[in-house]
Amino acid sequence: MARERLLVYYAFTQPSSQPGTFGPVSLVAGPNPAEMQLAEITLRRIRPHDRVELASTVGWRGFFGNPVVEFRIRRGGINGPVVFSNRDTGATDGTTFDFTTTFDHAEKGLSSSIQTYVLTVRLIQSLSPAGNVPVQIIGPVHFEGSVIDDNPR
Amino acid sequence: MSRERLLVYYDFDQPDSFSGSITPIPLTLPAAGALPTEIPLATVNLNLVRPHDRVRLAATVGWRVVAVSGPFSNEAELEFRIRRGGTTGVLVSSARDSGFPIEDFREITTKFLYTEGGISHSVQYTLSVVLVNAPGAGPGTTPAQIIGPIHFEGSVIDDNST
Repeated sequence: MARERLLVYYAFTQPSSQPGTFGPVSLVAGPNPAEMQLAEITLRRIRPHDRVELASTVGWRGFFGNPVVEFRIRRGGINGPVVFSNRDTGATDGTTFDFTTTFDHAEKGLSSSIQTYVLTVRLIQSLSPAGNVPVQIIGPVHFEGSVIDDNPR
Repeated sequence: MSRERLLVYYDFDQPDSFSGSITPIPLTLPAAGALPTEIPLATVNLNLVRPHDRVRLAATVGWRVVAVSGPFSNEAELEFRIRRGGTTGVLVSSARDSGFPIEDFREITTKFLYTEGGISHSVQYTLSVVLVNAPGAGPGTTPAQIIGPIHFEGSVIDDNST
């Protein structure tokens, strides 16, 4: 008997495949650092029992201090609810270094068959004076989503 | 002719979706001579597996180093482990990551992948973590914590079409 196959939709966006080919998008130090959108995907054919799996890889550069960045996934758009977040820290040792942060997120029970997800980043902590730029997003930027049918019994 | 599709089973466990939202899970340095405690974080159960399938596991964990001997002190190293067959099952994969605190903390995300074959029927995998090194931290102190997110998933992928 044939085995049921589960992947029903996949979408990805890859605005940059290598460091140095994105933006750069600057994260500016200050009391309320801005949340910057990096990428967006739309998944379709979603049913409530499906699993939605999102994966991301972002390359970024720290210029000084030891900045902490937070990546977020919002559902629906830049003002939609935050469904996932994770943090990473760069050790710059007083000079410029590059870092890569990669992560997965999954959810289920979605009521709409079409969902848009946006990947964003914001500065969480840095010892830089307001107005300085301790971090830039330089690439790569990869954001993907898979819609996975529920498992066979 | 239609192309064969390969994903036949998928399961995920995501006890926490955010950085800093859960009560931190402490990784405490034991008394001298004692082994650190391996702490289970998540579990996936995969069914309908055949021996020629590829089982692909992916884990993402947010954690932080905690300066217990003063700011910028005690670098800490963690080992993330995947066991097959329960919390005391065979160790099939591990990955390490390290950091030193910036002032009092250092927040880090670690993600790693593992794939294996030759599995039949049903299988359970457990993601766990253990402190492996924290020079400069004393016994009974907590030089690292799991702060979230915690994501663990498994995919069963049919063998490729020939």
